[in-house]
Amino acid sequence: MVKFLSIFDFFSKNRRDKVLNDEDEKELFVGRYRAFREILKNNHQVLMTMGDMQEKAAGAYLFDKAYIRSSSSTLLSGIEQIIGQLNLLSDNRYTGLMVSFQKCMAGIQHLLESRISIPQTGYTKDLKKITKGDIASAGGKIANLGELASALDLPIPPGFAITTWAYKSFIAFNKIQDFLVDELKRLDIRNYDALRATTDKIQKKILNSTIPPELKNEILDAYRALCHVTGQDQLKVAVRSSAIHEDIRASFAGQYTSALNVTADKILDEYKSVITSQFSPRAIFYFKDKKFNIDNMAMAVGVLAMVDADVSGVMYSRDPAKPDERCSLISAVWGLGEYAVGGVVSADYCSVLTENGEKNINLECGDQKVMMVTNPEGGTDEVEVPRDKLGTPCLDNDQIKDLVAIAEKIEDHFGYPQDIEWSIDKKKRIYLLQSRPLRIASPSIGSGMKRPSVVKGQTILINKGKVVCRGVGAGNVHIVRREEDMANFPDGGVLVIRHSHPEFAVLLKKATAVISDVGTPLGHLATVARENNVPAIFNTENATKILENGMKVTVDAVYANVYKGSVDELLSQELKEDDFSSSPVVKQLREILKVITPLNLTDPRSPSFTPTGCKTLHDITRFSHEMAMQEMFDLTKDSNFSERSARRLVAEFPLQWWVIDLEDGIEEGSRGKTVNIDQIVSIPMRALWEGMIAVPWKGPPPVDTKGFLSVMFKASMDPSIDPAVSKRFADRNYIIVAKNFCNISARLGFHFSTTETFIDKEENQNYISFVFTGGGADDERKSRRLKLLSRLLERFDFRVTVRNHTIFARIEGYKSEFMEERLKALGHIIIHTRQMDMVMYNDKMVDWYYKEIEKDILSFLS
Amino acid sequence: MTDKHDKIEDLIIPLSDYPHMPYWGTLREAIAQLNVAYETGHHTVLVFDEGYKLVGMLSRRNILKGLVPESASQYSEGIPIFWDALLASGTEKQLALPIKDFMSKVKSSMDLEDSLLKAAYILLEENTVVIPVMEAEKVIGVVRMDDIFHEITNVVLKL
Repeated sequence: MVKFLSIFDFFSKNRRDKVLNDEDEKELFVGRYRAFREILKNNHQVLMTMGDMQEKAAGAYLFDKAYIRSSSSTLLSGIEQIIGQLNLLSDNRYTGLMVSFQKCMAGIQHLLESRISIPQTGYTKDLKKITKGDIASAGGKIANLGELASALDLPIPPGFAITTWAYKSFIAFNKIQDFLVDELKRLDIRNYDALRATTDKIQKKILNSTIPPELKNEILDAYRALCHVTGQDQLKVAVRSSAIHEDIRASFAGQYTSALNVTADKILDEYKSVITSQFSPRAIFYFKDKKFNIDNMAMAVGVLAMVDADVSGVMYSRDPAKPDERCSLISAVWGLGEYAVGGVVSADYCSVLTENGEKNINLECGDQKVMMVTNPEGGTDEVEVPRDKLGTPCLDNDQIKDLVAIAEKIEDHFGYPQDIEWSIDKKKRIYLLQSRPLRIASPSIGSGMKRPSVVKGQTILINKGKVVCRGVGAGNVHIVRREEDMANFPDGGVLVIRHSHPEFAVLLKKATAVISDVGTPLGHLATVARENNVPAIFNTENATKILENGMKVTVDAVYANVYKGSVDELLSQELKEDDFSSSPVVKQLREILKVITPLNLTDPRSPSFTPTGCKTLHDITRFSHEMAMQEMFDLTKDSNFSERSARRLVAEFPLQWWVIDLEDGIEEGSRGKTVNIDQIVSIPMRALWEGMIAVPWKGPPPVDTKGFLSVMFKASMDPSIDPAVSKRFADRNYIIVAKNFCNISARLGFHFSTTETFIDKEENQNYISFVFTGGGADDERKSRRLKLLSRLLERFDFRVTVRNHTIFARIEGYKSEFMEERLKALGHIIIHTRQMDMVMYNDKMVDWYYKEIEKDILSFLS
Repeated sequence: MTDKHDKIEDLIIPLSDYPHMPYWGTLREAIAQLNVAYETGHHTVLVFDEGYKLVGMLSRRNILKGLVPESASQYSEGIPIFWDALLASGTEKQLALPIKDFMSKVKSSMDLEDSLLKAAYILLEENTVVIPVMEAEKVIGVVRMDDIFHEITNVVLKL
C-alpha cells in the first residue's frame, strides 16, 4: 500500500492544471518548450563566459577593462534571460531569483565603477626598490623594470620613479581635475576636430601648470642622489612614461612619449610633457571608446640614467610565429635603440634557437647607414654610422648568447614571453630598459595543449586529458565513486572521480588536485576548480581504473601528466604568477569574479537550494538550470494532450505510443493519424529507439489499453489502490519530440519510466534524465531490480539516486556523440528490465542479469 | 496429534523465497535462476503472466526435456553420447526460447487449510514435486514433496 502510494505520489506530485485540450494549448506548451530550450542555450553561454573570465583572471592572457565590462554585461544579460525564461516555463514560480540577481548585479556594477586606487606613497621611489607589485604607484613599465633588478638581479640603469601619487598631487595642486572631467565628458570623440581641439586645450593647460614645490624638490633631490650614485655631476637621464591602467594592453604601446638624454634643467619640463602625452587625441579616443574612467588616469614617470649606447635593440624571448619552440629574436642597431623600435633603419636581425642546451644563431646583417646618438649638450642627433662599423654585425656571438640567456631568464620569471628593450654601452655592459609581455596567440581555453615536456626518470601514470585549471599538485589519491566516499576525503588529497559532477565542488577546498575520467571543461566543477585554483585535469578516460586509493601522485596540470610519487622537480618550481597578475585590471577582474563564480548551491537536495540561497551568478545559473529541467519534466508529465495533437506511432513494438511533435521532431510534410518510426527525426529519440530495438524484446505481446487495464485490475495486488492511479494507468504512453528533445514515457503493468533528454551541439545543454518506479513483485525482488538498474545506469555513466523505490538517474554536460551512446544503452535498459523484478530471486541473479545485459549493450554500442 | 500438524500451513515456502519468472523469460534465464537456487533445494520455477497470475511450472524434468535432444536416445543402441555433441545440436537455440514452450500446466493447487494427506495425494496424482498454495486467487507460496514427506515420516514414527 505504502509503495503504491509513493509511486502515485511521484506521478501526481506538483500536478498542476495543464490539461491541454486543443491546439492553442499545445501552442502554449510549445512556447514553454522554447523557453526551456533557450535556458539551456543561455546556460551554456553563461558558463563559457565565466570560464573565459576565469582564464583571464589567472593572469595568462592579455585583456583590458573593456573586456571586464563587456563580459560582465554578457553574463548579466544571459542570466537575466534565463530567469525570465524559467518563469515563463514555470508560471512565475521563481520570481524570487530576481532579488538575488539584482544583488549580484549591484555588486558587480559597484566594482566596475570603483576606481583604481592610487596608493598614497612618496613622490619618488628608487628603482631598485620597485617590484612588479608596485604597478599602481610606479606604473607598469617601471614596475616591471624594477622587478628585473629586484627579483632577478639583472642590470638596469640606476634611476627612480615619480609616482602616480605625485601625479595626483600635481593635478590637485593646480585644481585641474574638474576641468579635465568636464572637458572629457562633453567631448564627442567621433568628431575629430573637436577631439583635436579638446586635447590641445587640455595639453596646454597641463604644460602651463605648476609643479608643486614639494614635488619639485623631491624630484630634484632624487636626481641629485642619482648623480651621486653614478658619480656624474651633470648626469643625463631618460624620462619615460609609465601608465598604470591598461598597461598590459598592447594597443597603448608607444602612445606615450619618452624623452632621451635630458639635462638636469629640463627634467621638470620633460616630466610635464610626459604626463601630458596621455591626453593625446589617440589616447583619449581609446580611453573614451572603451569607456574607461577618466578619473583613473594617472601616470607615473621613470627617470633613468642615460645609457651611452654603442648598440641597442629589442628582443623577443620567443618567436611569436613559433611559440612552442625556445627561439628568441633580436634586432640590433648601432647607437640608441629608438631606431630599432621605430623600424627607421635596416637593423641586424638574429634568431636564436635553443636546443638541448645548444644555441643555434642565425644572423642576418642589416644595412644601417645612420644612427641615433646622444648629444653632449643634451638631446639626440642623427649621425652617419662610422666607416669602421659599416657592414659589420652590431653584436658578436657572445653578446647574442648573453642577451638570449637574459631573455630566457626573464620569460621564466614572468612565465610569459617578453618583449625586451636593451642597450650595450661603450664599455660593453648590457642594460635592460624595458620588459613587457609579448602578445602571442593565446591557446584556446581548456585546449589541454600538451607540450613535449615530461620529467625524465619519473613514472608517468596518466598522460592524457584536458587541463581545466593549470597548476601542479601532489597528494594521496582518493577515489570518490559515490557520495558516501565524500565524507572521509582527506585534507590535501588528490580527488579522482569518474565524472565532473558539481556535487564534488565541496571537496575542492580540501583537494590539492582533481583528476576525472570524463568531464566537462566548461561545467560547474571546472568553474569551481578555477575559482579555488585547484590544478585539474579532466577527460583522462581511465584515471579511476589506473589510480588506487592512497597512492601518492603528482598532478602536472600544465602538461596534463600524472606522475607516480612526489616529483620534487615539479613541486619546487613555485608556480609563477606571470606579470599580468599584479596589474590593477586583473585585480579588478578577480574582485568581480568573487560575485560571479563561487558555487554555494552544490547539492539540489540541500534545503538551501532555493532562489534566496543563490549568492552568486553561478548559483543562479546552476539553480535555474536544475529547476528548468525539473519544470520541463513536470510539464510533460502532467500534460494531457488532445486526440488531435497526437499521432499513433507505427512500429513493431509491444507498446502503444502516441507522438506529439513540438518542433521539427517529425519529418517535414508528414501528416495523418499515425506516424511511422522512420519519419521521426528527433535526434535523441532516434538514438533511444536504436537502443530499444538493438536486441529483440522477448516480452509479452502487445495489449491494447482496454485489455491491458483488465489485466491490471484482475491482477491488482492491493485492492486499496487510490482510484486516481487507475486514471494514470489509463493514460496513454506519450512521446513528445522536437529536433533536439524527447520525452518518452513507458508505462506497462506496474512499471513506469520516463526519459527526458535534450541533445545538441553544445555540451553544456545536453542531458538525459530518467525516472523509474514500480514493480509487481515482493519488496525484496523490487529492491533487487532497482539495484540492478542502478548498477547498469552507473555502468553507463549515469548519476543515480534512489528514493521511495524510485530511481532518479541523470547524465549531463557531455558531447552529443557520448550522449547518444548513453541513450542507446538506456533504450536497451528501459526495454529489457521491464517486469524484471519477478526474476530477481536473489542477489546472485542481480549479478547474473547485470552481466547479461551489460554484454548485450556492449554488443551494439560503438 | 493436533489439528495444526495435520495442515500444510507450516510447510509453506512463501512466494518471495521461491524462484519464479514471467512466461516470456528464456530457458537460459530459468536455468540461471535454478542454478543460484540450488542450495535451497528449490528445483522448480513458477511461471506467471504480466498480471502475476500463475500460468505454469517449470520443473527440472521440463528443462531437461528442453535441453536433451532426441539423438540422445541413440545411447540404447550403444552409441556414446558426449556433452559437447549435445550442445552442438541446437541447444543454444533452445536456450533462447521462452519458458512457456517448456513449462507444464498447473493442474491443482491447495489452500492454507488443506491437510498433509491431501498434499500427498496430489503429489502422487499429478506426478509433481511442488504444489502452489493459493489465497484469494493469489499464489502465496508452495509446498514441496520433500517437506511433506519429511513431515509424514515424523507423524508415522510417532504412531
